Amino acid sequence: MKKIKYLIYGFLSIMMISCGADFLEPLPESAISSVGYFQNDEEIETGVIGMYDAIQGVNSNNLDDNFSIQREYYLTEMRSDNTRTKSSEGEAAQFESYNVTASNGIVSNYYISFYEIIYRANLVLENLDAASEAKSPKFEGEAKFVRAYAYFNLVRLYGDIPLIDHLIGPLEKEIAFTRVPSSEIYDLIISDLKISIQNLDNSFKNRASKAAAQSLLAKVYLTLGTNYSEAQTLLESVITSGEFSLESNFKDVFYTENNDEVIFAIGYTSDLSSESQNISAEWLNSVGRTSGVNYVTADARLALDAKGGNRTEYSYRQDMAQPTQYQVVKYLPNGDSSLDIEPTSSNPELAGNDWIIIRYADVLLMHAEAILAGGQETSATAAINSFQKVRDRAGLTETVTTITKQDLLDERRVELAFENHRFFDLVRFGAAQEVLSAFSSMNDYSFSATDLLLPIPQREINLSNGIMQQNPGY
Amino acid sequence: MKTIIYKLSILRSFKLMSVVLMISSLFACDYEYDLPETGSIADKTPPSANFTASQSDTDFLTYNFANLSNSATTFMWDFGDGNTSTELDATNTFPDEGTYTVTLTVSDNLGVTNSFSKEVTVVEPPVPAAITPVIGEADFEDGSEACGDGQDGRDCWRLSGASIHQISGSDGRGDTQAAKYPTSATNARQSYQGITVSPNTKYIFTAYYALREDGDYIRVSIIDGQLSNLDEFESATLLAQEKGEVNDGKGNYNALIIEFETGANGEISMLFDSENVSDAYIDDVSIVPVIEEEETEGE
Repeated sequence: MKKIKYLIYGFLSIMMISCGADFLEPLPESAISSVGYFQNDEEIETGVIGMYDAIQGVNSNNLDDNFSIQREYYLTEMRSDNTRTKSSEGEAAQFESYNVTASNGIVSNYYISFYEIIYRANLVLENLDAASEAKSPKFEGEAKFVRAYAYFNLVRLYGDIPLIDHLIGPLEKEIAFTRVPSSEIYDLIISDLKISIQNLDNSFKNRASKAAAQSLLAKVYLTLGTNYSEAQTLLESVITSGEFSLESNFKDVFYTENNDEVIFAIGYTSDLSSESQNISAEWLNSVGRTSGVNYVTADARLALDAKGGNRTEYSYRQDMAQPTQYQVVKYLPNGDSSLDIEPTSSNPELAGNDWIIIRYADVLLMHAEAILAGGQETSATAAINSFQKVRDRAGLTETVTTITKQDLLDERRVELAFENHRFFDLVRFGAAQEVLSAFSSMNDYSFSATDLLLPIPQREINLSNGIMQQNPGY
Repeated sequence: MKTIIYKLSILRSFKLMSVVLMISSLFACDYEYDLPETGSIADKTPPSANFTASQSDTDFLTYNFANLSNSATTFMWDFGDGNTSTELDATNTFPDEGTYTVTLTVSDNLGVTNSFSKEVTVVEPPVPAAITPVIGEADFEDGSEACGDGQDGRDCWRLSGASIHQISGSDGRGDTQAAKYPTSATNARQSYQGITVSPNTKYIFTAYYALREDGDYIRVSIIDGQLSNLDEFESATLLAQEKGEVNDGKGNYNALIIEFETGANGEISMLFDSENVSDAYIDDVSIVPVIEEEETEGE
């Protein structure tokens, strides 16, 4: 009997030892794995940088890579009245003619890319416990800003979408594929951005900042059309912070990195395949891989000629190789000697031009929009001051006394042309259906109201096994 | 099937054969019933109608309809005002203001139909009128219950940390009551009131004051936001501040007029204080929005 007692003790102790997680799941010593990686501030910061890396996207032409914002102009500018493909060929041309199919590779690449951004933000948020007390709120603020930014683009492009606010496993199909009402997505965006505003300061331009979160939240409120006075207050705190101002020369906004006008931009480094972009190389003739995309429409040229002031020459130019066609001048990778723009990289497909997401001119015009508050016109002094600053910089110095909704929409079009704002602006101003159906019938395209939302990628619907339903019209 | 069964039946008895034939004929009937056409399956995607409506900016009677129907090929709009359309996304101009039931009936190529109705209320969007704020006890008379039932002409003007003005019984405009400020060096007084106005709107403030000594003044501050204690005044954001400095003697009132513009916040307040060696008086405070000409869109 005594021996049995010892045997039981012996077995018990062996069992206890063998059950230790260290023994069963040892951490690899010669390589890094995600489990157990985030142990201190330094390691969490690499996760934070990883989020911006996901927004930056991969500079490649392989559809299996996440292009992320490097192909955003297809879904925004080319789906508006601003730009089109040069040759009207292939799935790239589905956007301009409003014939997007659910199997369009660019649509699904963007969707996957942006959920990757959300995954990386959730990964940071879930490992905040390992961060120091001083750094933890900053990391949280950045991750929540990035998550809100990604959701805001997704919800505006695709409508109701799956809400994933924590790390999920491959078997959690219900969460991964259940489309929740967009109002719930907006609730998450708003609560995330409020925390970012609380936790962040304005020390970065290529990473999230307080001003970026304030501007983005203001745009969320303007999009929802519910909280104009809060939007106005947010924008006024960006304006009165005194940390941002308009560049006196419009060209410098795009060719001087991190200038005073930039509030949030995605950084790129030239001639490094891992850190560069091929956005603007594709906008040129025989420079990128395509035959030329994001070419300027006649409609956009008319608007710029009439209302652009000195912005026009730095917005579009004639394609010298094909004089009937016109190209975007913002973000040129290989320069333009006649406009005194230096090349930014030796290989235009490895361009280093930063991509600006929020800049001060946008904030000033949103300020006027917040004061307009969904009305048809305003003559409030604060609105006119902000509006006039943007016009003065463009050399349009005649005094403005009232601003109509149409004035504001037109001003946004020429100030922010080809910066992926136009489509969202049309929708937010409630003008998308009228403007785009007129544009469509003039160009023999086939716009209908359901084209204001992109299709949910067919591969997601297939993978969902019946959980996910397609948007109407697809 | 039938030929195989027939061959089998030769090897079996007639009895069995007749049974088999009976069964097979029953099956045959069933097949015929189930499969009217080869390869036909049930319609799993019947059309479903849906739409949203949005008012045009240029003409409030015109609405743009966004067709959100699924699996439909033909569309029939009935706008409830006698107008119809067969367009995909329709536009309709209603004859007048009112509530209309708009019905969209859709069908697919199998002739299956579905319809959806929605009420559209057509009204001219009101030009938002600026709020004219209500000022409690603007003339400092007793007997008003605007701010509690104390009926004291000072009840609306109190603020924590401030010493409320005195009341003069008959030195006001028209020999009525007025707010009275004794000498400020030893007996400083303040009068405060929070009001609600429209954001981003121009207003005109008017108050009347009387002074008895050169160099004295009454001062009013229009504050963006409202105070809960006088000590917050120092750090408050001001929309306007002005002094009344004309000394015409007791009972001779001068107007203190200020134009100011509100910001994002519709909750503002005003605070009177003074610097005076002799008595000073305030009466008849008003704040009204600036009326701008035009604003009448011919429709």
